[in-house]
Amino acid sequence: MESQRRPLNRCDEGAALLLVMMVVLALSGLAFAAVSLADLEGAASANDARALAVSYAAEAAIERAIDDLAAATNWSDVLTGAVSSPLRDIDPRPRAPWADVLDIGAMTAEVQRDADVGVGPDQTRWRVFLAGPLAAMLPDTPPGVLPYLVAWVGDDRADGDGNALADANQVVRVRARALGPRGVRSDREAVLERLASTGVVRVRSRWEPR
Amino acid sequence: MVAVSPRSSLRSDDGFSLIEMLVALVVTMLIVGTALWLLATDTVLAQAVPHAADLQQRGRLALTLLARDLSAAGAGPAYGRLSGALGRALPPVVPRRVGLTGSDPFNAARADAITILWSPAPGQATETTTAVAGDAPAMTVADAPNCGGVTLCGLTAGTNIAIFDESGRHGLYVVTAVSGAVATLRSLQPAPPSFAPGAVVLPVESHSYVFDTAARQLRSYDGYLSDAVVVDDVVGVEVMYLGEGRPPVRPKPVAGTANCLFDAAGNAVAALSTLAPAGDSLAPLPLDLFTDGPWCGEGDRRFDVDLMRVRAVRVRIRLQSALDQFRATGPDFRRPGSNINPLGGVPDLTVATEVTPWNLNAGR
Repeated sequence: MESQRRPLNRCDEGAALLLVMMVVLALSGLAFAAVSLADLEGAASANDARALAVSYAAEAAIERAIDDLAAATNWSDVLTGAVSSPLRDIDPRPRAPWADVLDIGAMTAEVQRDADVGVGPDQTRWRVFLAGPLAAMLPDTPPGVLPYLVAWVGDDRADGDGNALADANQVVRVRARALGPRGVRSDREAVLERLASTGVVRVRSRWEPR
Repeated sequence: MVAVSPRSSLRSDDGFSLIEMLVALVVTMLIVGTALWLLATDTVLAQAVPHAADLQQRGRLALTLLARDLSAAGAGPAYGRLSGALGRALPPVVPRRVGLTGSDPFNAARADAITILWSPAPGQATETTTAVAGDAPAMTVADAPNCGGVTLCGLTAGTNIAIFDESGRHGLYVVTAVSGAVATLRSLQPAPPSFAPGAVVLPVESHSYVFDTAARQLRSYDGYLSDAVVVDDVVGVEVMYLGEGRPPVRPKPVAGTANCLFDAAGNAVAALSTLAPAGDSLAPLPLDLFTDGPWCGEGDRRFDVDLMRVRAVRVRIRLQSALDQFRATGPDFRRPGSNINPLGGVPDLTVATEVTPWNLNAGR
Protein backbone atom coordinates (compact mmCIF):
# COMPACT_ATOMS: atom_id res chain seq x y z
CA MET A 1 0.00 0.00 0.00
CA GLU A 2 1.42 3.33 -0.92
CA SER A 3 0.97 6.10 1.49
CA GLN A 4 0.03 9.38 -0.08
CA ARG A 5 0.63 12.84 1.25
CA ARG A 6 -2.55 14.77 1.30
CA PRO A 7 -2.12 17.68 -1.05
CA LEU A 8 -2.05 20.99 0.79
CA ASN A 9 -4.98 23.14 -0.03
CA ARG A 10 -5.40 26.88 0.75
CA CYS A 11 -7.22 26.18 3.98
CA ASP A 12 -4.20 24.40 5.33
CA GLU A 13 -1.59 27.02 4.51
CA GLY A 14 -2.53 29.09 7.54
CA ALA A 15 -3.01 32.78 7.90
CA ALA A 16 0.12 33.42 9.92
CA LEU A 17 1.97 35.28 7.21
CA LEU A 18 -1.04 37.38 6.36
CA LEU A 19 -1.71 38.13 10.02
CA VAL A 20 1.89 39.04 10.68
CA MET A 21 2.01 41.26 7.63
CA MET A 22 -1.17 43.07 8.64
CA VAL A 23 0.08 43.65 12.16
CA VAL A 24 3.47 44.81 10.87
CA LEU A 25 1.72 47.13 8.43
CA ALA A 26 -0.51 48.61 11.12
CA LEU A 27 2.40 49.10 13.51
CA SER A 28 4.47 50.66 10.74
CA GLY A 29 1.65 53.06 9.93
CA LEU A 30 1.33 54.15 13.52
CA ALA A 31 5.07 54.43 13.91
CA PHE A 32 5.30 56.50 10.75
CA ALA A 33 2.54 58.82 11.97
CA ALA A 34 4.27 59.23 15.31
CA VAL A 35 7.62 59.93 13.66
CA SER A 36 6.02 62.46 11.28
CA LEU A 37 4.41 64.24 14.19
CA ALA A 38 7.66 64.23 16.12
CA ASP A 39 9.38 65.69 13.05
CA LEU A 40 6.76 68.44 12.81
CA GLU A 41 7.00 69.22 16.51
CA GLY A 42 10.79 69.20 16.23
CA ALA A 43 10.67 71.62 13.29
CA ALA A 44 8.27 73.92 15.14
CA SER A 45 10.51 73.88 18.20
CA ALA A 46 13.57 74.55 16.07
CA ASN A 47 11.87 77.50 14.35
CA ASP A 48 10.84 78.88 17.71
CA ALA A 49 14.34 78.49 19.10
CA ARG A 50 15.82 80.14 16.01
CA ALA A 51 13.45 83.10 16.24
CA LEU A 52 14.22 83.50 19.93
CA ALA A 53 17.96 83.37 19.33
CA VAL A 54 17.70 85.99 16.59
CA SER A 55 15.56 88.20 18.84
CA TYR A 56 18.21 88.07 21.56
CA ALA A 57 20.88 88.73 18.94
CA ALA A 58 19.00 91.88 17.88
CA GLU A 59 19.11 93.02 21.50
CA ALA A 60 22.85 92.38 21.50
CA ALA A 61 23.23 94.29 18.24
CA ILE A 62 21.52 97.42 19.46
CA GLU A 63 23.36 97.31 22.78
CA ARG A 64 26.67 97.05 20.93
CA ALA A 65 25.71 99.86 18.57
CA ILE A 66 24.69 102.09 21.49
CA ASP A 67 27.99 101.39 23.23
CA ASP A 68 29.98 102.16 20.09
CA LEU A 69 27.96 105.33 19.48
CA ALA A 70 28.58 106.46 23.05
CA ALA A 71 32.29 106.07 22.37
CA ALA A 72 32.11 108.25 19.25
CA THR A 73 32.75 111.85 20.18
CA ASN A 74 31.19 113.42 17.12
CA TRP A 75 27.99 111.96 15.78
CA SER A 76 28.18 113.97 12.58
CA ASP A 77 31.24 111.88 11.67
CA VAL A 78 29.11 108.80 12.22
CA LEU A 79 26.36 110.17 10.00
CA THR A 80 28.78 110.86 7.15
CA GLY A 81 30.34 107.45 7.51
CA ALA A 82 33.75 108.73 8.58
CA VAL A 83 33.43 106.85 11.86
CA SER A 84 31.84 103.46 12.29
CA SER A 85 31.74 100.65 14.81
CA PRO A 86 34.89 98.55 15.25
CA LEU A 87 32.62 95.66 14.28
CA ARG A 88 32.22 96.69 10.67
CA ASP A 89 32.44 94.21 7.85
CA ILE A 90 33.11 96.43 4.83
CA ASP A 91 32.03 93.78 2.32
CA PRO A 92 28.66 94.97 0.95
CA ARG A 93 27.70 91.37 0.22
CA PRO A 94 29.13 89.37 3.11
CA ARG A 95 28.61 85.64 3.43
CA ALA A 96 26.58 84.75 6.49
CA PRO A 97 27.67 81.91 8.79
CA TRP A 98 24.93 79.73 7.27
CA ALA A 99 26.42 80.33 3.78
CA ASP A 100 23.82 82.73 2.36
CA VAL A 101 25.09 85.93 0.76
CA LEU A 102 23.60 89.00 2.43
CA ASP A 103 22.86 92.11 0.41
CA ILE A 104 23.49 94.92 2.88
CA GLY A 105 22.69 97.57 0.26
CA ALA A 106 19.25 96.10 -0.41
CA MET A 107 18.62 95.93 3.32
CA THR A 108 19.59 99.56 3.73
CA ALA A 109 17.19 100.56 0.96
CA GLU A 110 14.44 98.59 2.65
CA VAL A 111 15.08 100.23 6.02
CA GLN A 112 15.14 103.62 4.28
CA ARG A 113 11.66 103.08 2.86
CA ASP A 114 10.08 103.18 6.32
CA ALA A 115 12.49 105.70 7.76
CA ASP A 116 10.09 108.42 8.78
CA VAL A 117 6.83 110.14 8.17
CA GLY A 118 7.14 112.79 5.49
CA VAL A 119 10.07 113.80 3.34
CA GLY A 120 12.50 116.67 3.20
CA PRO A 121 16.15 117.45 3.78
CA ASP A 122 15.95 116.36 7.41
CA GLN A 123 14.51 112.96 6.67
CA THR A 124 16.63 110.29 8.27
CA ARG A 125 19.19 108.82 5.89
CA TRP A 126 20.28 105.48 7.27
CA ARG A 127 23.96 104.59 7.03
CA VAL A 128 25.49 101.25 7.97
CA PHE A 129 27.35 101.65 11.24
CA LEU A 130 27.91 98.06 12.31
CA ALA A 131 27.99 94.80 10.39
CA GLY A 132 29.39 91.44 11.29
CA PRO A 133 28.65 88.02 12.68
CA LEU A 134 27.59 87.73 16.29
CA ALA A 135 30.46 85.29 16.70
CA ALA A 136 32.85 88.23 16.32
CA MET A 137 31.40 89.66 19.52
CA LEU A 138 31.63 86.33 21.30
CA PRO A 139 35.15 85.08 20.67
CA ASP A 140 34.93 82.16 23.11
CA THR A 141 31.76 80.76 21.62
CA PRO A 142 32.10 77.38 19.93
CA PRO A 143 31.70 77.58 16.17
CA GLY A 144 28.11 77.31 15.05
CA VAL A 145 25.45 79.07 13.09
CA LEU A 146 25.17 82.34 14.98
CA PRO A 147 23.18 85.29 13.60
CA TYR A 148 24.64 88.08 11.53
CA LEU A 149 24.19 91.62 12.84
CA VAL A 150 23.69 94.92 11.04
CA ALA A 151 23.05 98.34 12.60
CA TRP A 152 22.29 101.62 10.89
CA VAL A 153 22.54 105.13 12.28
CA GLY A 154 20.64 108.18 11.06
CA ASP A 155 20.04 111.76 12.11
CA ASP A 156 16.76 112.55 13.79
CA ARG A 157 14.68 115.01 11.81
CA ALA A 158 13.80 117.00 14.91
CA ASP A 159 17.00 119.08 14.78
CA GLY A 160 15.60 120.89 11.77
CA ASP A 161 19.05 121.81 10.42
CA GLY A 162 18.20 120.80 6.88
CA ASN A 163 21.05 118.33 6.74
CA ALA A 164 20.51 114.63 7.28
CA LEU A 165 24.26 114.05 7.48
CA ALA A 166 24.94 116.45 10.35
CA ASP A 167 23.86 116.19 13.95
CA ALA A 168 22.86 119.56 15.36
CA ASN A 169 21.08 118.50 18.54
CA GLN A 170 23.06 115.55 19.90
CA VAL A 171 20.25 113.18 19.04
CA VAL A 172 20.52 110.24 16.63
CA ARG A 173 18.53 107.20 15.73
CA VAL A 174 19.92 103.69 15.60
CA ARG A 175 18.32 100.64 14.11
CA ALA A 176 19.73 97.16 14.59
CA ARG A 177 18.87 93.93 12.85
CA ALA A 178 19.84 90.33 13.50
CA LEU A 179 19.57 87.83 10.67
CA GLY A 180 19.42 84.08 10.99
CA PRO A 181 19.05 81.08 8.72
CA ARG A 182 15.86 80.63 6.69
CA GLY A 183 15.12 84.33 6.55
CA VAL A 184 14.56 84.76 10.28
CA ARG A 185 15.25 88.32 11.40
CA SER A 186 14.49 90.70 14.22
CA ASP A 187 14.80 94.50 14.45
CA ARG A 188 15.22 96.99 17.27
CA GLU A 189 15.26 100.76 17.09
CA ALA A 190 16.24 103.45 19.57
CA VAL A 191 16.61 107.21 19.77
CA LEU A 192 19.73 108.31 21.64
CA GLU A 193 20.67 111.66 23.03
CA ARG A 194 23.94 112.89 24.48
CA LEU A 195 23.23 115.03 27.52
CA ALA A 196 24.93 118.39 27.13
CA SER A 197 25.54 118.71 30.86
CA THR A 198 27.34 115.42 31.46
CA GLY A 199 28.10 113.99 28.04
CA VAL A 200 26.31 110.81 29.08
CA VAL A 201 24.40 109.06 26.31
CA ARG A 202 20.79 108.32 27.25
CA VAL A 203 18.32 106.14 25.39
CA ARG A 204 15.17 108.20 24.98
CA SER A 205 13.04 105.49 23.56
CA ARG A 206 13.55 101.97 22.38
CA TRP A 207 11.16 99.69 20.57
CA GLU A 208 10.76 96.78 18.23
CA PRO A 209 9.59 97.85 14.77
CA ARG A 210 6.87 95.45 13.60
CA MET B 1 3.58 -3.28 -2.08
CA VAL B 2 5.65 -0.62 -0.50
CA ALA B 3 6.63 -0.88 3.10
CA VAL B 4 5.70 2.15 5.12
CA SER B 5 7.43 2.95 8.32
CA PRO B 6 5.16 3.85 11.24
CA ARG B 7 7.00 7.16 11.73
CA SER B 8 6.46 8.36 8.19
CA SER B 9 2.86 7.36 8.46
CA LEU B 10 2.46 9.47 11.58
CA ARG B 11 4.00 12.50 9.94
CA SER B 12 1.75 12.40 6.97
CA ASP B 13 -1.59 11.17 8.05
CA ASP B 14 -1.99 11.06 11.79
CA GLY B 15 -2.71 14.68 12.54
CA PHE B 16 -1.49 16.32 15.74
CA SER B 17 -1.45 15.04 19.23
CA LEU B 18 -3.19 16.99 21.98
CA ILE B 19 0.17 18.07 23.36
CA GLU B 20 1.24 19.43 20.00
CA MET B 21 -2.03 21.27 19.65
CA LEU B 22 -1.74 22.80 23.08
CA VAL B 23 1.85 23.86 22.50
CA ALA B 24 0.97 25.32 19.12
CA LEU B 25 -2.04 27.07 20.62
CA VAL B 26 -0.02 28.57 23.46
CA VAL B 27 2.73 29.72 21.13
CA THR B 28 0.21 31.22 18.75
CA MET B 29 -1.60 32.96 21.57
CA LEU B 30 1.65 34.35 22.87
CA ILE B 31 2.63 35.71 19.49
CA VAL B 32 -0.78 37.12 18.65
CA GLY B 33 -1.25 38.47 22.19
CA THR B 34 2.08 40.24 22.07
CA ALA B 35 1.27 41.68 18.70
CA LEU B 36 -2.14 42.87 19.82
CA TRP B 37 -0.70 44.32 23.02
CA LEU B 38 1.88 46.20 20.99
CA LEU B 39 -0.81 47.36 18.61
CA ALA B 40 -3.08 48.51 21.42
CA THR B 41 -0.25 50.33 23.20
CA ASP B 42 0.88 51.94 20.01
CA THR B 43 -2.68 52.97 19.19
CA VAL B 44 -3.16 54.60 22.58
CA LEU B 45 0.16 56.44 22.28
CA ALA B 46 -0.56 57.43 18.70
CA GLN B 47 -3.83 58.99 19.85
CA ALA B 48 -2.29 60.76 22.84
CA VAL B 49 0.89 62.11 21.27
CA PRO B 50 -0.82 64.62 18.91
CA HIS B 51 -2.67 66.06 21.88
CA ALA B 52 0.55 66.37 23.87
CA ALA B 53 2.11 68.14 20.87
CA ASP B 54 -0.95 70.39 20.62
CA LEU B 55 -0.48 71.36 24.27
CA GLN B 56 3.13 72.29 23.59
CA GLN B 57 2.19 74.37 20.58
CA ARG B 58 -0.57 76.23 22.39
CA GLY B 59 1.75 76.94 25.30
CA ARG B 60 4.45 78.18 22.99
CA LEU B 61 2.05 80.45 21.11
CA ALA B 62 0.65 82.01 24.28
CA LEU B 63 4.08 82.66 25.73
CA THR B 64 5.49 84.02 22.48
CA LEU B 65 2.70 86.59 22.09
CA LEU B 66 2.76 87.61 25.74
CA ALA B 67 6.53 87.84 25.95
CA ARG B 68 6.71 89.90 22.77
CA ASP B 69 4.16 92.42 23.99
CA LEU B 70 5.70 92.54 27.44
CA SER B 71 9.12 93.20 25.92
CA ALA B 72 7.67 96.22 24.15
CA ALA B 73 5.84 97.52 27.23
CA GLY B 74 6.46 101.16 27.99
CA ALA B 75 8.03 102.30 24.71
CA GLY B 76 7.28 106.02 24.85
CA PRO B 77 7.75 109.21 22.86
CA ALA B 78 11.13 109.66 21.21
CA TYR B 79 10.76 113.42 20.87
CA GLY B 80 9.24 116.37 22.64
CA ARG B 81 8.05 116.90 26.14
CA LEU B 82 8.02 113.75 28.25
CA SER B 83 10.28 111.96 25.76
CA GLY B 84 11.39 108.65 27.19
CA ALA B 85 9.62 105.62 28.57
CA LEU B 86 5.86 105.80 29.13
CA GLY B 87 6.55 104.98 32.78
CA ARG B 88 7.49 108.60 33.33
CA ALA B 89 3.81 109.49 33.17
CA LEU B 90 1.62 106.40 33.37
CA PRO B 91 1.83 102.67 34.12
CA PRO B 92 2.58 100.60 30.99
CA VAL B 93 1.26 97.41 32.63
CA VAL B 94 -1.87 97.16 34.75
CA PRO B 95 -3.40 94.02 36.29
CA ARG B 96 -6.83 94.24 34.74
CA ARG B 97 -8.73 94.38 31.46
CA VAL B 98 -8.90 97.90 30.06
CA GLY B 99 -10.81 99.23 27.08
CA LEU B 100 -14.08 100.37 25.65
CA THR B 101 -16.07 97.31 26.66
CA GLY B 102 -15.84 94.98 29.61
CA SER B 103 -13.28 97.00 31.51
CA ASP B 104 -12.53 95.97 35.06
CA PRO B 105 -13.00 98.73 37.62
CA PHE B 106 -10.00 101.00 37.96
CA ASN B 107 -9.36 99.71 41.49
CA ALA B 108 -9.38 96.03 40.52
CA ALA B 109 -6.23 93.94 40.46
CA ARG B 110 -6.55 90.46 38.98
CA ALA B 111 -3.94 87.74 38.87
CA ASP B 112 -5.39 86.40 35.64
CA ALA B 113 -5.41 89.57 33.54
CA ILE B 114 -2.85 92.08 32.36
CA THR B 115 -2.98 95.07 30.04
CA ILE B 116 0.20 96.09 28.25
CA LEU B 117 0.69 99.50 26.66
CA TRP B 118 3.43 100.61 24.28
CA SER B 119 4.05 102.80 21.30
CA PRO B 120 4.76 101.16 17.95
CA ALA B 121 5.81 104.54 16.50
CA PRO B 122 7.60 106.63 19.12
CA GLY B 123 8.84 109.00 16.40
CA GLN B 124 5.31 110.27 15.81
CA ALA B 125 5.02 112.00 19.17
CA THR B 126 3.46 115.45 19.18
CA GLU B 127 1.25 117.66 21.35
CA THR B 128 -2.36 118.80 21.23
CA THR B 129 -3.00 122.39 20.22
CA THR B 130 -6.63 122.38 21.32
CA ALA B 131 -8.38 121.20 24.45
CA VAL B 132 -9.55 117.60 24.26
CA ALA B 133 -12.65 116.63 26.22
CA GLY B 134 -15.59 114.24 25.94
CA ASP B 135 -16.19 110.92 24.26
CA ALA B 136 -15.77 112.10 20.65
CA PRO B 137 -13.54 115.14 20.66
CA ALA B 138 -11.93 116.88 17.72
CA MET B 139 -8.18 117.31 17.99
CA THR B 140 -5.46 119.30 16.29
CA VAL B 141 -1.80 118.78 16.96
CA ALA B 142 1.41 120.75 16.76
CA ASP B 143 3.65 120.46 13.73
CA ALA B 144 6.56 119.20 15.83
CA PRO B 145 9.97 119.13 14.12
CA ASN B 146 9.95 115.33 14.13
CA CYS B 147 6.66 115.34 12.20
CA GLY B 148 8.36 116.72 9.12
CA GLY B 149 5.45 118.89 8.12
CA VAL B 150 3.14 115.91 7.70
CA THR B 151 -0.47 116.66 8.62
CA LEU B 152 -1.40 115.40 12.08
CA CYS B 153 2.13 113.99 12.39
CA GLY B 154 1.06 111.08 10.23
CA LEU B 155 -1.92 110.02 12.35
CA THR B 156 -4.55 108.36 10.19
CA ALA B 157 -8.03 106.98 10.75
CA GLY B 158 -7.84 103.78 12.73
CA THR B 159 -4.73 104.74 14.68
CA ASN B 160 -4.92 104.25 18.43
CA ILE B 161 -3.38 107.08 20.39
CA ALA B 162 -2.69 107.97 23.99
CA ILE B 163 -3.02 111.52 25.26
CA PHE B 164 -1.29 112.21 28.53
CA ASP B 165 0.46 114.77 30.66
CA GLU B 166 2.94 114.88 33.51
CA SER B 167 0.35 114.49 36.24
CA GLY B 168 -0.55 110.92 35.32
CA ARG B 169 -3.79 111.92 33.63
CA HIS B 170 -4.14 109.90 30.44
CA GLY B 171 -6.67 108.56 28.03
CA LEU B 172 -6.71 106.25 25.04
CA TYR B 173 -8.53 107.14 21.85
CA VAL B 174 -8.93 105.88 18.33
CA VAL B 175 -8.78 108.27 15.41
CA THR B 176 -12.12 107.74 13.67
CA ALA B 177 -11.78 110.34 10.93
CA VAL B 178 -9.30 112.88 9.57
CA SER B 179 -10.44 116.05 7.88
CA GLY B 180 -7.61 118.35 6.90
CA ALA B 181 -5.62 119.01 10.05
CA VAL B 182 -8.41 117.94 12.38
CA ALA B 183 -8.74 114.44 13.75
CA THR B 184 -11.98 113.19 15.21
CA LEU B 185 -11.39 110.83 18.10
CA ARG B 186 -13.41 108.29 19.99
CA SER B 187 -12.55 107.65 23.61
CA LEU B 188 -11.62 104.06 24.44
CA GLN B 189 -12.86 104.32 28.01
CA PRO B 190 -15.91 105.64 29.77
CA ALA B 191 -15.68 109.09 31.34
CA PRO B 192 -12.43 110.19 29.70
CA PRO B 193 -10.42 112.98 31.29
CA SER B 194 -10.10 116.47 29.84
CA PHE B 195 -6.82 117.74 28.51
CA ALA B 196 -5.63 121.30 28.11
CA PRO B 197 -3.66 122.19 24.96
CA GLY B 198 -0.11 120.91 25.19
CA ALA B 199 -0.86 117.33 26.22
CA VAL B 200 1.36 114.69 24.65
CA VAL B 201 -0.08 112.67 21.75
CA LEU B 202 1.43 109.32 20.83
CA PRO B 203 0.37 106.32 18.71
CA VAL B 204 -0.01 103.36 21.02
CA GLU B 205 -1.12 99.77 21.17
CA SER B 206 -2.91 98.30 24.13
CA HIS B 207 -3.33 94.57 24.57
CA SER B 208 -5.28 93.09 27.45
CA TYR B 209 -4.62 89.39 28.04
CA VAL B 210 -7.49 87.99 30.06
CA PHE B 211 -8.27 84.50 31.28
CA ASP B 212 -11.90 83.69 30.54
CA THR B 213 -12.59 81.06 33.20
CA ALA B 214 -16.02 80.10 31.86
CA ALA B 215 -14.83 79.47 28.32
CA ARG B 216 -11.38 78.33 29.50
CA GLN B 217 -9.67 80.62 27.01
CA LEU B 218 -6.86 83.12 27.09
CA ARG B 219 -8.14 86.13 25.16
CA SER B 220 -6.47 89.23 23.79
CA TYR B 221 -8.40 92.50 23.69
CA ASP B 222 -7.14 95.57 21.84
CA GLY B 223 -9.19 97.99 23.92
CA TYR B 224 -11.60 98.72 21.09
CA LEU B 225 -13.27 96.16 18.81
CA SER B 226 -11.00 93.15 18.62
CA ASP B 227 -11.41 90.58 21.38
CA ALA B 228 -9.87 87.36 20.10
CA VAL B 229 -9.01 83.95 21.49
CA VAL B 230 -5.28 83.39 21.87
CA VAL B 231 -5.48 79.77 23.01
CA ASP B 232 -8.22 77.41 24.10
CA ASP B 233 -8.36 74.95 26.97
CA VAL B 234 -6.54 77.11 29.45
CA VAL B 235 -7.14 76.12 33.07
CA GLY B 236 -5.04 78.68 34.87
CA VAL B 237 -3.29 82.00 34.34
CA GLU B 238 -1.22 83.70 36.99
CA VAL B 239 0.56 87.01 36.49
CA MET B 240 3.04 88.16 39.13
CA TYR B 241 4.78 91.50 39.38
CA LEU B 242 8.26 92.40 40.57
CA GLY B 243 9.51 95.89 41.07
CA GLU B 244 11.19 98.63 42.97
CA GLY B 245 11.12 98.41 46.74
CA ARG B 246 11.47 102.17 46.92
CA PRO B 247 8.31 104.23 46.53
CA PRO B 248 7.76 105.70 43.06
CA VAL B 249 8.60 109.34 42.37
CA ARG B 250 6.63 109.61 39.13
CA PRO B 251 4.36 110.88 37.74
CA LYS B 252 5.61 114.28 38.78
CA PRO B 253 3.33 117.15 37.74
CA VAL B 254 4.59 120.50 36.51
CA ALA B 255 5.11 123.15 39.15
CA GLY B 256 1.89 124.67 40.36
CA THR B 257 -0.22 121.56 39.92
CA ALA B 258 -0.79 118.65 42.24
CA ASN B 259 -1.39 114.95 41.72
CA CYS B 260 -1.55 111.84 43.86
CA LEU B 261 2.13 112.03 44.81
CA PHE B 262 2.96 115.73 45.02
CA ASP B 263 1.27 118.94 46.07
CA ALA B 264 1.37 122.09 43.97
CA ALA B 265 4.63 123.12 45.63
CA GLY B 266 6.29 119.85 44.63
CA ASN B 267 6.26 118.27 48.09
CA ALA B 268 5.54 114.57 48.43
CA VAL B 269 2.10 114.04 49.92
CA ALA B 270 1.78 110.27 49.94
CA ALA B 271 3.56 108.02 52.42
CA LEU B 272 4.21 104.84 50.47
CA SER B 273 5.84 101.78 51.96
CA THR B 274 9.33 100.56 51.13
CA LEU B 275 9.32 96.89 50.19
CA ALA B 276 12.11 94.41 50.86
CA PRO B 277 13.62 92.69 47.86
CA ALA B 278 13.36 88.90 47.81
CA GLY B 279 16.94 87.87 47.31
CA ASP B 280 17.52 89.84 44.16
CA SER B 281 17.23 93.49 43.28
CA LEU B 282 13.48 93.43 42.72
CA ALA B 283 10.75 93.08 45.31
CA PRO B 284 7.65 90.93 44.77
CA LEU B 285 4.66 93.22 44.42
CA PRO B 286 1.48 91.64 45.83
CA LEU B 287 -1.73 92.42 44.01
CA ASP B 288 -3.31 94.15 47.00
CA LEU B 289 -0.57 96.75 46.73
CA PHE B 290 -2.35 97.91 43.57
CA THR B 291 -5.77 98.32 45.14
CA ASP B 292 -5.15 100.67 48.06
CA GLY B 293 -4.18 103.89 46.31
CA PRO B 294 -3.13 106.63 46.20
CA TRP B 295 -4.82 107.00 42.84
CA CYS B 296 -3.34 109.03 40.02
CA GLY B 297 -5.06 109.96 36.78
CA GLU B 298 -8.74 110.46 36.19
CA GLY B 299 -11.85 108.49 35.34
CA ASP B 300 -11.59 104.88 34.24
CA ARG B 301 -7.85 105.25 33.70
CA ARG B 302 -7.10 106.03 37.31
CA PHE B 303 -4.31 103.84 38.63
CA ASP B 304 -2.70 102.93 41.91
CA VAL B 305 0.61 104.73 41.86
CA ASP B 306 2.35 101.58 43.14
CA LEU B 307 2.01 100.29 39.57
CA MET B 308 4.84 102.66 38.74
CA ARG B 309 7.13 100.32 40.69
CA VAL B 310 6.72 97.42 38.24
CA ARG B 311 9.96 96.39 36.53
CA ALA B 312 9.38 92.74 35.67
CA VAL B 313 6.43 90.46 35.03
CA ARG B 314 6.14 86.71 35.51
CA VAL B 315 3.42 84.78 33.73
CA ARG B 316 2.39 81.16 34.26
CA ILE B 317 -0.20 79.55 32.04
CA ARG B 318 -1.64 76.09 32.62
CA LEU B 319 -3.21 74.28 29.69
CA GLN B 320 -5.14 71.06 29.51
CA SER B 321 -5.85 68.50 26.84
CA ALA B 322 -8.86 69.49 24.80
CA LEU B 323 -10.49 66.07 25.02
CA ASP B 324 -11.94 64.53 28.15
CA GLN B 325 -10.67 61.08 27.14
CA PHE B 326 -7.05 62.20 27.54
CA ARG B 327 -7.49 63.64 31.00
CA ALA B 328 -7.40 61.47 34.08
CA THR B 329 -7.62 62.24 37.78
CA GLY B 330 -4.85 63.43 40.05
CA PRO B 331 -2.67 66.46 40.60
CA ASP B 332 -1.57 66.51 36.97
CA PHE B 333 -5.10 67.25 35.84
CA ARG B 334 -6.86 70.43 36.95
CA ARG B 335 -10.10 69.14 35.44
CA PRO B 336 -10.49 65.37 35.72
CA GLY B 337 -11.38 63.38 32.66
CA SER B 338 -12.40 59.85 31.80
CA ASN B 339 -9.01 58.37 30.97
CA ILE B 340 -8.03 55.26 32.95
CA ASN B 341 -5.09 54.11 30.85
CA PRO B 342 -1.89 55.56 32.29
CA LEU B 343 -0.32 55.50 28.84
CA GLY B 344 -3.16 57.46 27.27
CA GLY B 345 -3.28 60.41 29.64
CA VAL B 346 -2.01 63.83 28.58
CA PRO B 347 -1.19 65.76 31.77
CA ASP B 348 -1.78 69.50 32.00
CA LEU B 349 1.12 71.61 30.79
CA THR B 350 2.32 74.68 32.66
CA VAL B 351 4.43 77.18 30.74
CA ALA B 352 6.03 80.21 32.31
CA THR B 353 8.10 83.21 31.40
CA GLU B 354 9.57 86.23 33.11
CA VAL B 355 10.06 89.40 31.14
CA THR B 356 11.99 92.46 32.26
CA PRO B 357 10.82 95.08 29.75
CA TRP B 358 13.63 97.34 28.71
CA ASN B 359 11.49 100.49 28.88
CA LEU B 360 10.34 99.70 32.40
CA ASN B 361 13.95 99.64 33.51
CA ALA B 362 15.39 102.59 31.59
CA GLY B 363 17.51 104.61 33.93
CA ARG B 364 17.63 102.06 36.72
